[in-house]
Amino acid sequence: MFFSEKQLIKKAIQGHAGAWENLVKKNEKAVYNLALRMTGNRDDAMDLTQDVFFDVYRKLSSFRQESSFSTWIRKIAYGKSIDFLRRQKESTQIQEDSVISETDPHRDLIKSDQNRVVLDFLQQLTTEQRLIVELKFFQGQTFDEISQTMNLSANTVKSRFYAAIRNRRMKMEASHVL
Amino acid sequence: MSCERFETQIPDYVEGSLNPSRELEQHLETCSSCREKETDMRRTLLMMHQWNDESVPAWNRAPVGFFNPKRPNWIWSWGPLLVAVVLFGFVMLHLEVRVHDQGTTIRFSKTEDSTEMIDQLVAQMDARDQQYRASLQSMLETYQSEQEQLVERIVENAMVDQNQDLKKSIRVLNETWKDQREKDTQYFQRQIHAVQRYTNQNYDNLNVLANHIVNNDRRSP
Repeated sequence: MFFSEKQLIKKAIQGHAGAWENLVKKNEKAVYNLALRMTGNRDDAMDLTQDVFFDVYRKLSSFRQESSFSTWIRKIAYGKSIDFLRRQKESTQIQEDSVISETDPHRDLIKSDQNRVVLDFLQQLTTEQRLIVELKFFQGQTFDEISQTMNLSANTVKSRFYAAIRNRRMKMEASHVL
Repeated sequence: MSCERFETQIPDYVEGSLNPSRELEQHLETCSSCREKETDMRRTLLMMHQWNDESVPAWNRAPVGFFNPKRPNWIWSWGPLLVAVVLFGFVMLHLEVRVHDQGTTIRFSKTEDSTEMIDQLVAQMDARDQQYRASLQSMLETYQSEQEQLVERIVENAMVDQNQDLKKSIRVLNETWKDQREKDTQYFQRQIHAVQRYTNQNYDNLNVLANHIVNNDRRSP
């Protein structure tokens, strides 16, 4: 039987596990890939994805249908990503052990695939720059929309965006010189 | 012209979602800073296009305890409807269930029997209805009668109470009157005695005066 997104949400609120799983399946790929780009490794991306969906479930009854369900989930994912990266920054030592480690099998996997270049570039950015780049390139938001999402002025968003992509060029030029 | 306006347009221009204006093209030709931004944007976009969405590893989307385990199953959802449909079928098809020593049999009951049975049931229901109505009427009349009696009793009791009070009041009043009458009698007796005394005194005075006049007449020539 086919249920609309609205019906699935209503059933999930009533405790229908099947409806909830259906909603998750429709959105988990987008959330997981967003989390992967933001965190840079698959384990953290999976933890973040679970954390996002746990939060989505907790807030499900407060979803007012003002935006689409996927947009609402992404907003929660942005907030969770920033929290995650801030916590990670606070525990720098742990970050170095878990992310930078050359023996991390997931990092090897990422290195071997075509997404490696993108993840390496994103890992060099600050949290804010990473989110701006994510919203600009992968979510297709305008500078004005990003400024609303991140509660920053449009000029700040623009300058950080161009600083992020300029930084990439500078590094590439430096590596060519070296 | 300020670069600010064109900085906003460059990503859309590079992505192809914005047709370049003459102004933007002229600006890019003359402004090296914006031209660098355009180049950075182009290269980064090219890099981002390499991204392929990865599939999500297997995970438990609805872990145990995440949902209420007491969710009603199909028997509670559809069971009552199923029972209703079966019962409805039995009634409509005149099915009859008989339990005997050899087991249970289900058969179509005769329509005539059913009609008679329905007639009997209707007659019984009518009789019960009349009994019920009669009983209700009787109850109503009894109730009304009891209520009237009750009201009368209450009124009588009130009257009795009132009469007792009245008698008591009259008795008190009578005694008061009696006392007052005795007092009045004594008062009148005292007044009568006083008047008698006064009259006797006047009578004596008149006698004295009469004797005096008589004696004077006798002494005068």
